[in-house]
Amino acid sequence: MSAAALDAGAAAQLVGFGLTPRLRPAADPAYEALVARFDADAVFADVVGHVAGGLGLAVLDVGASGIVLAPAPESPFALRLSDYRANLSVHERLLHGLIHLGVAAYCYPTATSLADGDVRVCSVAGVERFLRDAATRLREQHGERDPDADAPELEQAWRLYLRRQAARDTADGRAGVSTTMAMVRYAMERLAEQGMLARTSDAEGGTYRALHRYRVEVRELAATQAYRVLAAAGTGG
Amino acid sequence: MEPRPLVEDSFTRRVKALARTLPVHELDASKGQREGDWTRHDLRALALAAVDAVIDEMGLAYGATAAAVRARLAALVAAAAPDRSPAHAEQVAAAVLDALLNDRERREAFAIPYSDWSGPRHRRASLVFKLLEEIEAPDGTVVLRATDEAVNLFVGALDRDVEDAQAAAEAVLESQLRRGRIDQAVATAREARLRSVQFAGRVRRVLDATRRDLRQVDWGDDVPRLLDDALTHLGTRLDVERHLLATLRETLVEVADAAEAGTAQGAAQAGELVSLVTDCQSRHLELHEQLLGARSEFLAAQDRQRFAPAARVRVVDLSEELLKPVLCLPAAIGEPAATTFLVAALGAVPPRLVRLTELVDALLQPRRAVEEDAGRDDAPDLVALDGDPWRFAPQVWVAALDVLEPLGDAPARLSDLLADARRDSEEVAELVALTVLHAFAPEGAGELVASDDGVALEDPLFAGADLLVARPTARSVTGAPG
Repeated sequence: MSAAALDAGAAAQLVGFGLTPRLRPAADPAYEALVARFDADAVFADVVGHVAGGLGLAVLDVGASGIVLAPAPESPFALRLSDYRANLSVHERLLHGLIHLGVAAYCYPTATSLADGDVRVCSVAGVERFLRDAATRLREQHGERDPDADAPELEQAWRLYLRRQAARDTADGRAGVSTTMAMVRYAMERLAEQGMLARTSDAEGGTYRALHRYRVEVRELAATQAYRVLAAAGTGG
Repeated sequence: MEPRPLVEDSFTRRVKALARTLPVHELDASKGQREGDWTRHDLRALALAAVDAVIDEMGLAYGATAAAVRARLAALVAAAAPDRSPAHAEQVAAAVLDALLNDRERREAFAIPYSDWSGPRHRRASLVFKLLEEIEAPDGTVVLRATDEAVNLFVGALDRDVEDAQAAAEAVLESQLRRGRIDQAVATAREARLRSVQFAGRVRRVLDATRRDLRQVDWGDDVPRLLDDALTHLGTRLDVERHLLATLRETLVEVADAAEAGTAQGAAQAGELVSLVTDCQSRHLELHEQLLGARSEFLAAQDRQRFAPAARVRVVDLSEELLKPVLCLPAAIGEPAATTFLVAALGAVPPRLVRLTELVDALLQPRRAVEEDAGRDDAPDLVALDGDPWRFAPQVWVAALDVLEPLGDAPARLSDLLADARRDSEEVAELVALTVLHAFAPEGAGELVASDDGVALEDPLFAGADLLVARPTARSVTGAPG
């Protein structure tokens, strides 16, 4: 077998490790060796970049916590919103997106904190309060004036958020699925599944550590992409 | 000629050094606001003990976990207040660690305002620093690291150049050894080790930054100088320490002789000193290797990052540039940005596919023989149900019936009912829609009657006709089919 073919196989293996987000190089000697090789061997690193690129993935970071990949929008590895939660209305989609923005902004309050290297902590109740406070401040700024009944599509996001209850007790003891607490909890559970957060305790409705992978994904991809979409929306583009 | 500044540089440095102790003082001052009686606890001392515990494990190895440091602190607290519960000790320990991590400010750096007279005019400046931070170790555990500020705060060398301070410390050590001042020598050796840790940190950060993004680091000028300095420095340090160790071992023999004469404590301390200096030396050696690899690391990073596909853009401020604008925008306009963020933040998700080979294998597998005794003692994992389980919770039913309650002879639109129901929740709306649908095609006689007059329903969740719903009184139903 040619050396190039072996390289391609090893590169694909490294990309495969990246798709098992909770696996760490320290837990798997083969993974560890591939990460070390990526660091030392520029040709191999290039092959990894191309293998990932062919699958519609970009390599965001390779280091002690593993390889961090980002899917291109059309990649088979990109999350479809319907896989996140099925049958969402526009308003619900907005709220779920807003909550993810809230988790990230809670963990990384400033641009500098996105560039740091430390571990941040967040909790379900903390993020919910954080978003509710932000929305409440906006209500104070904008006054209590009711939205136009004729143009519900022009209703601002903060109004929608405040209209949702934070929590609701149901007879069987579960929080209602449509409350903001439940939506934040769901967001954090999904992030934990993806190896972005790690649960530390049940305090505050679930307390998590925000890991390196999450910071990279937010900084290198999510924030930039969302910012571009927002800028385009702002200019009517 | 430039006007002379009002104060000398050293003054500003000392002001800043003093300001860096503020978080620890604030922690101690917060005792009064704590639940229960905390007056007996010296939170300042506990904070220093925490930094101490962190630095002990720091260096080129992984480091101490928050749980380990909390346990160490809890032991100290328990020793200070043996009559209090272990839970109280843990609470105090957690509070100390939270304060050093600045958990109150979501782990942002401390920002302490201070007066700066060093420029042409007085200004209020803000000193930004961290004391402890949590980082991920390569094996996935999360460990604590003390920042340079914390290390300085701890060793008390608040305003000195790393290298000079170390050279000085070792000169002092040698002279102390000559005069047999072992006590102070142990203390000085401990400081020397802390400085090694600090130095290693500086170099490691540069290498980390290089791996992350070459452009953040000045490899043209600054870094080569730092590496050269560090290499020269380490070379001499290793010589000095070799010499020190030799001297120490000699001293140890002498001290051991003295011990026989009745001063046994000196021997133990000299032994401690030897292990300290050995540790210091091994840390230097590891750092030395790291430095030797630094240049090839730089070249590798350069090669790799030259091929990096996307040009890096500036870092977006999440709160100001994304969260706030989206909150202010109408839902329909902000939604694409918000969902774009959601999808990207979750990263790459492998599509879940059925593996045909595994499926076939699974289907073709022979029945597994069940062992005779297996599972015999297990109680069935079943729960008795009274009747069918309900899809909706009782109070959803109550809310939905509330919505339908006012209906009479006069028909109402489904869309109005749904709007009513949504004021409660999406679940209630769903139940209302299902009830109305049931009335439109009833399997048996129901109270409600629904009819279609061709108006389409505009709804985010349901599609179909905007039905007219009514609850006919007994009289008007008489002719209707059962």
